[in-house]
Amino acid sequence: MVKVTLKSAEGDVFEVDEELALESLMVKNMIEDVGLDSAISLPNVSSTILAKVIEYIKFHMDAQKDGSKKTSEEIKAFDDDFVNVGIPTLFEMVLASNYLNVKSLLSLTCNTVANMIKTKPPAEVKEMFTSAKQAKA
Amino acid sequence: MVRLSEQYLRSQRKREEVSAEASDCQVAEWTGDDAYFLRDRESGSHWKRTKSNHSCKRPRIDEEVGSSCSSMDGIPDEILVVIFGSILSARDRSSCASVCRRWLMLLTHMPRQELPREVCSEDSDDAKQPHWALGDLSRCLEGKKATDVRLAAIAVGTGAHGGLGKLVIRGGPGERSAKGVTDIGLTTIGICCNALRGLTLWDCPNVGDSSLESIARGCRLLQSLDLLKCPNVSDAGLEAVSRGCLRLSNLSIESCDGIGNAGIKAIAKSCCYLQTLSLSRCSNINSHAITSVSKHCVALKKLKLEKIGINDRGLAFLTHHCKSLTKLVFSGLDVTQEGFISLALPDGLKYLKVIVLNACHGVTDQFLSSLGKSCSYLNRLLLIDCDNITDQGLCAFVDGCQRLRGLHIEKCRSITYAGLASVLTTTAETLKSLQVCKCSGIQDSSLTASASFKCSGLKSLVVNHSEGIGNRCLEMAGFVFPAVQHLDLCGISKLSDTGLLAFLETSGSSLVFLNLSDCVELTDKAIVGVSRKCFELQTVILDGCVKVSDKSVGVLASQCRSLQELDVSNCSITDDGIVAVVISVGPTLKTLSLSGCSRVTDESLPTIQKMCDSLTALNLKNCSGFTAAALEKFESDLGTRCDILMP
Repeated sequence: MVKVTLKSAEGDVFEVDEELALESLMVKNMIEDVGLDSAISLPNVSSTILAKVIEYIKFHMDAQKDGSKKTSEEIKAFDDDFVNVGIPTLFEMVLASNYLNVKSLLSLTCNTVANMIKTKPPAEVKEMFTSAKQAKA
Repeated sequence: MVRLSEQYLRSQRKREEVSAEASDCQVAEWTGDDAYFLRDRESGSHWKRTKSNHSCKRPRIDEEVGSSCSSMDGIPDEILVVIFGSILSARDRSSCASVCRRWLMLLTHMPRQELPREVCSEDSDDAKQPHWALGDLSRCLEGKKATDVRLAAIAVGTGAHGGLGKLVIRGGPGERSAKGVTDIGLTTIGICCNALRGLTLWDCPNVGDSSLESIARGCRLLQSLDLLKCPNVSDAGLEAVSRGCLRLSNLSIESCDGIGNAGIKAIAKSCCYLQTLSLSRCSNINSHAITSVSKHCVALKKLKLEKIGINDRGLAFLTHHCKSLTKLVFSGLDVTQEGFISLALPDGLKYLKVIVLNACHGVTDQFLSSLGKSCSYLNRLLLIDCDNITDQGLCAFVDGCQRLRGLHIEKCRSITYAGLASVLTTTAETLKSLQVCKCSGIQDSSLTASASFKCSGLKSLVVNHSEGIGNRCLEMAGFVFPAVQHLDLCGISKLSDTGLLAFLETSGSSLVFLNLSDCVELTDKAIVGVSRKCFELQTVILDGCVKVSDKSVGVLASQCRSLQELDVSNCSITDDGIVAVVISVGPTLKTLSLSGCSRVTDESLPTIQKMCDSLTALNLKNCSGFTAAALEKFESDLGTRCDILMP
């Protein structure tokens, strides 16, 4: 199995299967452009977030494989648990999935944010977004 | 994923400008369509509800100013659009729009069809039609409130409440008139409000063709379009409307010099449902446009042409093709007598019911005579500023036209009492309404013998601002019109107690509406006389009757128990008079105007509040007798049910 090396913002190196890396359209394009020889640098994604993204893709790839025994309930439970994080982390995941161009993760995280907005008055929505920003800074 | 619309990408750059422009607009609230209007007689215009501190039923979009907005720049637009796309309820989308201007503009550029919708669980009818398509709401933006941000707020917000059906924007002179509504704001309406049926744009100098193009793309159901003083709208805009809005039935264009024949022709060709067309003061529209309209819009029912460069030939085309016309308004047209006579050909406008002729020098006795003969359904004639019309023409007209129900003569100096008397004799059976304004030919002094005819069917008599008319004319009017219900004698300054009392001797018992504004000679004696005879009165207007005091107003209120509207502006009224009125008719009174009554003070406020349960409008303009503290308490006690025009 061909391995792809991904380098996070902090410089940590993650070695993943090519098949997994190709789930990110951004990485896929990079590989097509520069090949597999050097590590792919992802300066916009921190190590923690990159680890989470890899965990997500891995789980879903396993779940889709033939012979997987995971039920849709289990997948849903994983997703729910996956996005059950603090707002700052959630926003970072949104940004990362947008940057890495992982459609399924983007829609999962965006949906979560949308659900959080639901029934909140504007002031609270604003608060939510501002705090996320501050935490990041 | 929700696709960003083309318009959004284009206007992304402009968005920054909007934020800057609108930054002093702190609150973009839902301007209520239920705003209550009340007549302000001083200016002749309407005064609008002024209260804004009372709780609004609908949620508001509170605008935040730029700086705080920037703290949320962390999330790029494309992600926000994905997030907004996942929000199901329109209500939550409105909350998002309230967060900051950037979010608002993002939301306005997401076409309604692409947004997910809440599943309607209530009844099946609702489920078939999406919320935004109902078009139940109407919104009106006026003056300073007419900004792009408000429009954007309306575009997003109305989706949650049934969809915008009618939009009125009145720019007009104001501090910010230089900015006002621009194409950016109207584009958001075009994208979001697909159920729009009526659009009115008055005084919008910054609105151009791209607005109309966007409206034409998004609002296919548009039926009514009204443009006034929009100099940047040109033929291209109207052509876009003609392509997109095929159901257009009502078009009104006034003082838009950018629009010429090509735009009108395009509309005429494709909008076959056009029923009402009004073209006023557009220097670039002439006979060519009218010819095209005549040929294509055969269903046209109402047509108004004011100061349009139309010639005899254009008018002849109209008569030849638009046989179904029922109402015609011609004002300031440069058409000769021959041109007008072509209108009155025997097989011409058979179904014409109403005709208004204002300041057209081609309108002559001969034309009027043939009009009476050919248009047998005609039942209302309005002649304004027609100096060429004499008694002879008017008599010849009524000889031919037997169904005349309404006659309005204004500023026709050549018409005398003799002519009017002869017209009234002929139409005594049918005439329901007579209006005579500023006709210097009709004078007390020309009255000869007493009248020998009666118009018992006449319900409405309006005699305004006629210097020659005084006591003698009114005495005779009482005899001729015994059943009059609506009497308007505004500005008959020569009228004194004697004249009004003489009128009341023979008429007045069925009066429901009485306007004696600016009849300065009238005193308490006349008003007491009114209260003895006219028990059915619902509306009494005594604005400017300076000699009328507490005494007679109190008597009036005690006798006329069905009084609903009372205007004692600028009368010599004090607290005693108001308290007396309110105690008698307080429970039924809906409108009370005390404008300029400086002797009415705080003392009467508690009684008004206690007695006037159904009061919906109160005019206290120029009332110097009140203290601010008392008014504030009064206003809060009265609550939202009553509109108060403050001093």
